[in-house]
Amino acid sequence: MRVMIVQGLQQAYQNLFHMFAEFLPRFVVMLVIILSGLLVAYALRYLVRTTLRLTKLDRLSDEAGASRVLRMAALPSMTELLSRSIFWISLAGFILVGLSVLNIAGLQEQVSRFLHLLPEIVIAMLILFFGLIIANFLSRAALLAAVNAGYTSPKTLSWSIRFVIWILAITMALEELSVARETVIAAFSIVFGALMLGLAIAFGLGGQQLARDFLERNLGDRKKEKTEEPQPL
Amino acid sequence: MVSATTTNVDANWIANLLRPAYKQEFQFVAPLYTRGKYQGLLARTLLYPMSRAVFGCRIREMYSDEWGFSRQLALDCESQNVWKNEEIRARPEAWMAITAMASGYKCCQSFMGPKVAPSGPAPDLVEAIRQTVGNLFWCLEKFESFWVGRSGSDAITTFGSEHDLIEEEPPANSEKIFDLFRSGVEELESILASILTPETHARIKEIAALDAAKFRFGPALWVRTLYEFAAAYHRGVMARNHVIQALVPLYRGQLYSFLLEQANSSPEEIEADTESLCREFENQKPYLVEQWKAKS
Repeated sequence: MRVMIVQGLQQAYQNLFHMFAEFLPRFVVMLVIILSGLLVAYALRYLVRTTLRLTKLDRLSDEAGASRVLRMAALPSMTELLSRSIFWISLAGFILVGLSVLNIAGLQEQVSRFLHLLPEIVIAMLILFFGLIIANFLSRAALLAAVNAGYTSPKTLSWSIRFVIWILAITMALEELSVARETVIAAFSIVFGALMLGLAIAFGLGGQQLARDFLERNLGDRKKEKTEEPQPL
Repeated sequence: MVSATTTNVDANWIANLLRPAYKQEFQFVAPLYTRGKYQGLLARTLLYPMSRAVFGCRIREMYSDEWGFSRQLALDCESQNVWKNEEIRARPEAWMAITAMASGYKCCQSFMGPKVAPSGPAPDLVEAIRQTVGNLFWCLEKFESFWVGRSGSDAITTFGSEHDLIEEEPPANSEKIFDLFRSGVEELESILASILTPETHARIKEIAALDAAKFRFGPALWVRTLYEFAAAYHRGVMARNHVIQALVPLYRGQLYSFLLEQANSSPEEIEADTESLCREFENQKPYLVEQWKAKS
């Protein structure tokens, strides 16, 4: 009995030793991968930050109104945001590769799925980012044009443009991530179609006078309108 | 250079534009016209006073369709790699005038007489502001080293009458102009907030709330507003074209204020007011420099 217990303990000790002997080199490899990843991520962040500063992305972002949105969301500047994103995405990638070396059951599959999805996540983020910039730029341009032309409800026009571009960008980002692809496309078609139909009905029926004024102003006698302001030059 | 749309050009115009350059060695010749009381107000209340205060040279009609220049100035301008810029292509005459000033060339102005407006629709105010004010702000950046340290302004040689204003009927339905100003201040609140300082923005909102009959856009506030717009354009707080377009409702406010104040003024009184506005621009120039250098 005593011999059996000793043998059992010896066996357990050997198994444990064997496991450690097998796990430790993998753990060291994982640490090496993560540390290398940290260095690579820092290098990438520096590279991206320098490149973006040279290309004056922050100025473009200011002009397009994206910086204001970032400030409202208490986020750093566009250059800082993108370089930090690159840092964390690459570090996360290296951490996952490092974890996969440990050969933990089930984890490898999740890691490979994440790595497979990583480029799509980056592309989806870029789509949302450019969607935000374009929406801000175009909605502001529409607002200024409508105000200067003396149209009624210029903010409604501006917000409609912003909303449509946001919806489009979000749909494209979800499509890129293959999230419920068919549902997203169907939802987009329904929302977009309903919005346009709603606007057309509201404009045509609810705002008959407005529609008449708008058409008269744009297709009617334009010369008559312009005589109100003296010749500027 | 003579505009193809000007219908009353005669031999005297050509002589008046060419003679100073040909006989008297002037490098840039700006025109002067007989103007109606309400004609060319963008030039009289914005372009002339601001360009005079900033660049220190009293050229009244820097943004006109006719001007004269010497061969030397033409060669100088032609050799510069700026002709693809939209601002230059739209209004090359002002850029040539400022280049002449900055290069120390002799500038003068020559009286042409009345200018008959081309037939067809009047030029669009938004487009006129986009072209001229866009060009002026662009030149402010381009010639920064020339104007930042300057103060005051110098008179230039004038051939013929320096100003000639004639009475004319006020524009009809001018209340519409005030409505456009008021709605612009309200609708563009967030845009104006990112261009103007909080104090100036608050004062503009205050006057926009006034009754139309009591409305007044004072010269001090107008100058301050323009200088802040120029600085915002320089800092690129948003797309530059948008900064310029956001000025349109405020110019309409200034225009309405002018129409109210000068309804019964004689041409001499209007001229005195223009001179006083020019001095306001010159007095406040340090504010422009301060705003221009802030965060740049």
